[in-house]
Amino acid sequence: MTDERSSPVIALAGQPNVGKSTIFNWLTGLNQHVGNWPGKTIEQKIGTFTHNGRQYTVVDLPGTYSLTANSEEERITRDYILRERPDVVVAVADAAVLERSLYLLTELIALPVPIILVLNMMDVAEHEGIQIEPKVLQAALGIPVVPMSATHGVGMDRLLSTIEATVDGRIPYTPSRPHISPEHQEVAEKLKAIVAPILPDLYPPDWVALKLLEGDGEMIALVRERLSPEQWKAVDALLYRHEDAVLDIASARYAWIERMIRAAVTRPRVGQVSFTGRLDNVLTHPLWGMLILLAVLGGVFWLTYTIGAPLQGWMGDWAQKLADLSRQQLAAAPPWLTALIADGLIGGVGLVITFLPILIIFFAVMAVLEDTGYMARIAYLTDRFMHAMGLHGKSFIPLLLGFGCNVPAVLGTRIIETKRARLLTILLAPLVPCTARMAVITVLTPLFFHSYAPLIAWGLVTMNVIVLALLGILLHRLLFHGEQASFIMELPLYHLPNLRTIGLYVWQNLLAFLQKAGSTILLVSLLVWALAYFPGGVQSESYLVAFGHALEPLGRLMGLSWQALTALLTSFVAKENTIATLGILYGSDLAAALPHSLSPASALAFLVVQMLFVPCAATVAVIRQEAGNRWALFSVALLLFISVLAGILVYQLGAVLGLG
Amino acid sequence: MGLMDDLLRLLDGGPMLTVETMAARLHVHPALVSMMLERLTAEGYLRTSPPTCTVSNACEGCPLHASCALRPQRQMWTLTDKGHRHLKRE
Repeated sequence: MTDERSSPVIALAGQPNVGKSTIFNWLTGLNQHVGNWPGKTIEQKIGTFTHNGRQYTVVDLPGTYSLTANSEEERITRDYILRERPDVVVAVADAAVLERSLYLLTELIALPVPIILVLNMMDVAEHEGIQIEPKVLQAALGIPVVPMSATHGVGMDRLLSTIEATVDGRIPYTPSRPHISPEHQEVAEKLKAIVAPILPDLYPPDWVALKLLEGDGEMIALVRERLSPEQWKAVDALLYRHEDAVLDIASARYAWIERMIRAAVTRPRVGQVSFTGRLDNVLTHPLWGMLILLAVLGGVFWLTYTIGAPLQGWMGDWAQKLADLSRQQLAAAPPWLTALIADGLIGGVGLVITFLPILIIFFAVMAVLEDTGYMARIAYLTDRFMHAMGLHGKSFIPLLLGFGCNVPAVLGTRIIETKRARLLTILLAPLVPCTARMAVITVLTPLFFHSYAPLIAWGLVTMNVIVLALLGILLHRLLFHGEQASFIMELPLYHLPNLRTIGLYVWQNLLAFLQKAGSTILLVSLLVWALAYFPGGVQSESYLVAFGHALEPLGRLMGLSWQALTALLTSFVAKENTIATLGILYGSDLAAALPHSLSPASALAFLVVQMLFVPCAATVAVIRQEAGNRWALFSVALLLFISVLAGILVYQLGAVLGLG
Repeated sequence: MGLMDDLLRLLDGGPMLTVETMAARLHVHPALVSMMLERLTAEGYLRTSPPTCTVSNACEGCPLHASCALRPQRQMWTLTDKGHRHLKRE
C-alpha cells in the first residue's frame, strides 16, 4: 500500500481515554487537521510527522471497545481499516486495565493489517503495583509491544522506531489469535466457502464468516444482498442452528486475554483489595460467616440496649413528669381534656418518642454496618442460607428489601416473572422484620427481660428467619416447583465508615419515624384513648375493655392480658402503635407496669406474636393490589394462625418450665 | 464449552455469587468476569437487576431507602429467558 501513497499511513486505535489523542498530538504537533468523518458527525483527526527523513500520515480513529458495528464509532474504525488498509495500526492500551484494552486487540489482530500494541500509562500501572513484562507479552502475542507513558513523553522514540521497522517489514509479525471450538470452526469454514466468491476484495472471508456467526447486522445484510435466495437460505439455516456461536467466539477471546495476562502481568496482593479479600474469606464463609453474622446481630442489640436503655429511662422519667405536670396545670379543665393530654397524647405518642435514644443507636450501628460494606455481605450470606432452604433465588431481592419496609418488599416482587414464585415471595415478605417491627422489639424487650434483652431480641430475629425459611420450604413444595436462578452481585471494598453518611442515615430514619409518630401513631393513640375513656370516663367500663374482655379466652392461651392483645391489634394500623397503646392502657411508666402484668413466658409469647403477626395495613393493601383479595385474605389468615400458634406454644412451653 | 458457558452454568441454580467468587471458580481475573458479564448482558443472556429500578415507587416510605443494601449502584445480574434456553440446549 505504501508504494501507492505519498507516505505510510499509521492508524491509532483504542478505547476512549487510553491516551490516544496524547500520542496523536505528540506525533503530529501542529501538523494536524480536524474535521468530520465523511457523512458522519464524529470528529476526524489527521496529521503528519517526519521520522528519519520519511513523512508519515497519522489517522486518529474514534475510541471503540470492539469492532462489532454496534455504534457509529465501531463502524468507522473497522470500515477505515478494511477499506483504507493503513500500513500500521497502533493499538493503544491502558496498561493499568489491560484486560479491557486487549479485547479490542483480539478483534484488530483478526484484520489483515500489522498491529503494534502500545502499553500506555505504564507509570500509572507501576504506581498501582501492576508489573507488566512487555517482552514476554510481545512473545506471547507475536506482535510488537511498546511500553509508554505518553503524558510524560516516555517511550515515544521507541514507538517511532517500531513504526518504522514495521512499515519496512523488519519486525517479525506472527500474531497469536484466539481459537474457537472445532465445532464452530467447522461452521466458520463452511460459511467462508459460501461467502468467499461473492465478497468484495476488501473483506477477508474468514473475518466475515466470524462476523456472521457473531450476528453482525452489517455483514449479514451485505452477504444476504449478494447471495442467491437459495444460498442465503442455507447460510441463514446454518446461523440459526449455531445462534450461540457468539458465546464461543467471545469465550475464545476472553480465554486468550486471560492467557496473555497470565503470561506477562503480575498484580499486587497488598492494600485494600487484598484486605477485603482476606476479610471476605472469613466473613462470607458458609459457616464462619454465618456465625459471625449472628454474633454481629447480637452485638447490635447489646450495644443498643447497653447505651440506649439508661437514656430511654431518663427520657421516660421526663415523660412521666410532663404527664403529671399537665394534670396539675389542667386541674381546672374538663376531666376528658386532662385525660386526653396526659394519657392519650403524652401516654401514647410521648411514650413512643422517649424511645428515640434507642432508635438513634440502633440506626447508627446499622449505618456503620452499611457504610463499612458489611451489609452487602449480609445480603450475600442470607441468600446462600435461603437458597439452601429451597427458596427461589429471585425472591431474595424483595425479601431483603423487607428489612426496610414490607411495602416495597411486596412491590419488589414484580421482578419475579413466574406467577407462583411471585406469590410465594409475597406471602413470605411480611415475615421479614421491618424497621418498625424491629423498633417495637428493640423498645419492649428490655422492659421485660432487662440484661437478657440482647439475647432475646437476637433470638426473635433468628426465629423470624427460621419461620420464613420453613414456611418457604412448605409453600415451595406445595405451590412452587420452578427453576432456581442465581445472582451475581458486586461486593464493595471494606472501608472506614464516613461520619456524614452515618449522620444522614440516622437523620432520615428518625425523620421517617417522627413523621409517623406525628400522623398515624397520633391518630391511633387518640382513637385508643377515646375507646378506653368513653362512655363514662372510667377505663374498666370503657368500650375498649368490653372489646378486650371478649378476647380474653384467646389471650389466656398465650398468657396475655386484654391490654396486650389490644396493643397487638392496634399494630395492624402501624407497628409502633403497640407501644403507644400499651402506654395508654398501662400508663406512661411502662417499665414498672409491664413486668407485673405479664410473666416471662407471657412476655416472650407477646414478643413472638408481635414478630410474626399480620403486617401493617399498608402492606396488606399492597398485597391485595399485587395478588388480589383472595391471597391478601390468605396472607392475613396464615400469619394470624402462625403468630397465635407460636404464641400459644411459647407460653405453654414457658409455663411447663415454670416461667408462667 | 467456553468461558462464557461456564459462567452461565454457574448461574443455573445455587446461591448468589460475587464477581470475585465467580472469578475464582473460573480461574480468571475479576476484571475479566466483569467484562464477560457486560458482554452477556449486551447479548441478552443476562439481565442487570437493580431492584429499585424495576418498580418506580417500590421504595416510597421505606426508611432504609437512602442506604438500602441493594442500592442501584451495586450491580446484580441474573439469567434471562434466552440464558435459560441456552443452558437447556447444552
